[in-house]
Amino acid sequence: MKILAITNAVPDPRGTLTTGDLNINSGGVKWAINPYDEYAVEQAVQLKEQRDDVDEVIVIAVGGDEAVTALRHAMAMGADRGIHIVCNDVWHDDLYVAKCIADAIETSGDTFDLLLCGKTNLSRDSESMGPALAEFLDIPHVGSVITLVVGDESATATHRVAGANETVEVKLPALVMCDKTLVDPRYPPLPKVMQARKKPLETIEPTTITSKTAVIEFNSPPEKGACTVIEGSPEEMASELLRVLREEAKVL
Amino acid sequence: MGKILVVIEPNQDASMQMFTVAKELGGETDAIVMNDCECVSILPCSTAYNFSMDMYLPLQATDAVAKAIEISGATTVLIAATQVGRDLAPRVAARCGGSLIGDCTTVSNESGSIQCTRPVYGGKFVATIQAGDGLNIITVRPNAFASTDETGSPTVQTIETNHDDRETISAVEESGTNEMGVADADVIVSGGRPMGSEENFASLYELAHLLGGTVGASRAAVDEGYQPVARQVGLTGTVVAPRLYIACGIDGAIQHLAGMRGSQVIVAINTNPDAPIFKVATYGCVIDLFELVPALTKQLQQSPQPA
Repeated sequence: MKILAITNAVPDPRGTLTTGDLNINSGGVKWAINPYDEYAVEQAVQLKEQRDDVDEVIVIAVGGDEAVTALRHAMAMGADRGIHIVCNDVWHDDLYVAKCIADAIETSGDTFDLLLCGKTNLSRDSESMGPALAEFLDIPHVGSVITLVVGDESATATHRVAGANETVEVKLPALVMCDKTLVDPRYPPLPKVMQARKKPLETIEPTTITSKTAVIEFNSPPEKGACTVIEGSPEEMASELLRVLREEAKVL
Repeated sequence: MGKILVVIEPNQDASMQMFTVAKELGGETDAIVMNDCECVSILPCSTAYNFSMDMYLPLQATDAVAKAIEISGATTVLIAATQVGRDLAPRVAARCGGSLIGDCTTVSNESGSIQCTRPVYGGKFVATIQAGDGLNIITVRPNAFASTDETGSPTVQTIETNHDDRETISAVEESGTNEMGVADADVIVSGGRPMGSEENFASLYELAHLLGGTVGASRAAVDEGYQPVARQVGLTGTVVAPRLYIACGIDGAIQHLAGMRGSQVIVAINTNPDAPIFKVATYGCVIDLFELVPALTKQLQQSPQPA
C-alpha cells in the first residue's frame, strides 16, 4: 500500500502581510506547514507504523521555495520522500493545484491506495483542493474526517454533518480530508529534522496549465467603523443593544 | 450573460439566496434541487431539475449536477458555500472542465464578465477574482446576499442518477441534539474561557435560540472542555460569517478574529475595554457577560423576535 499526503505551506498568522497591486508581499514572513495538513501527515505515518503492508508514505506540495518548508516538516514527522511541484505564481487556485498533483501522480506511475490532505488550506481559506483532486483522479472522497479506519479494500470514515456524525464507507483508492481531532500530530525532535534533510526530495515542473481564474487585486478588508460603545446598567445596555441591532444594524 | 444554474439544497435558506445573486448577474436561470422536494415546482426559474438522493453523497451529486449543466447549457453555476456546497462545487468544476471561485462575499457582472471577491489569508485580505472563460462554478457565502420570497412556475425535469457503489453511508449517529452547526448559522452567540463551565453555556444557548441562532466557542473554552470542538470558531476551528456574532467573554486572539471578522455585525461583551475583540466589534459592551446575557434574554422573552 502506498499513501500520498498533500501538504501546503502557509504564512504564520502572527506575521505581517502587506498588499501590493497584484501581490501579497510575503518577504520576511515565516512559513509553516498548513496546520490541517499535519493531521494528514500524522495519519499517514501512523498507518505506516501500525500496518505491515504500507510500503511508502510520500508527501507532495505545489508552490515556490516555501513549499519545501512544509515538505521537510512532513518528512521529519516520518514521511519517506517528497515531491515538490515548483510554481512561483503568487496566486494559484485550488483547481490548478489539484490538476498539477493529479498530473504528477499520473506521470510518476505510482499508484496510491490512500490520499490524505488537510480539511482546509489556511492561506487560500479554502476547502476545495481535496474534492477537486479526487474528481480528477476519479476516486471517492470524504470531507472533514474525524475518525478513520483503513481496511484492505475500503476505508470507513466518520465526519460531522449538521446535527450528526455520519460514517461513510469508500472503496480504495480514496481521498480523505483530515479534520482536527483525527490524530494528534507529533512534533518532530531535532534529530528527525536533521534526518529529514537527507530524505529524497524530487523537484518537478508543473504541467503547462495555468489557473483559469485570475486575481485582479488584493486589498485590505474594508475598515470597520469604530466600535460603538454602549453604556448604562445591564438592563439599559440590553435594551439599547437590542434597539441598535433592530433599528440601526437591522440584523434582528 | 449566459444561462445560470442555481444548485438548491432542500430547506436551506442560503441556497435561496443564490436566486438573488442570479438576478444581480442577469441571465436566464435554471435550478437543480438535490433530492425530491415539494419546493421544486415553485422555484423562481425557467427549468427546475431534481434528482433522488436521500443523503448527500459527493459522486452521485456531482453526476446529477454535471448532467443538469449539460442539459441546461449553463455557463455559470451558483452554489451556497454551505458544508455540502463547498464539498460539491470543486468536484463539479473538475468534472465539467470549469473554473472554480469559492466562498465569495460579492459577485458582480462587469460588462459581461464575472468578478468576485473573497477573503484570503484568514480574512486579512480580500482578493478580487476574475472568472475564467467558459464554465464558472461559484460558491457564495451564506448571508452575503438577501434571500428571496419570489416564486415561479418552472418546467420540472427529473434527472436520473445512480448511486455510485464506491461511496456508501453506513451509519448516522445523531449527536444528541438538533443544534445547528456554526458554519450554517445566521446568528452565533460565542463564549470564551470566562464562561467557566459547560453548565454556564446553557445561558448562551438560551439567548442564541431566542435570536434564531446557535452557540460557538473560543479555542480556550473548547480546550477547557466547556464545548465540543465542532463549536470552535477560529482559524483552526470553523471560519464563520454570520449576520450577527455576539462574543461573550472572548478577548479575541488573532486566530479567533480571523475566523469571525467577516461577520456582518459583531457585538463584543467583555470586562476588559482593551481586549482586541473591540477592534473588530460594531458594538461594544464593557460589562460582565453574566450581568448582560440574562438581561438580554429577559428582554427578548418579553418582546420576542418575529419568526
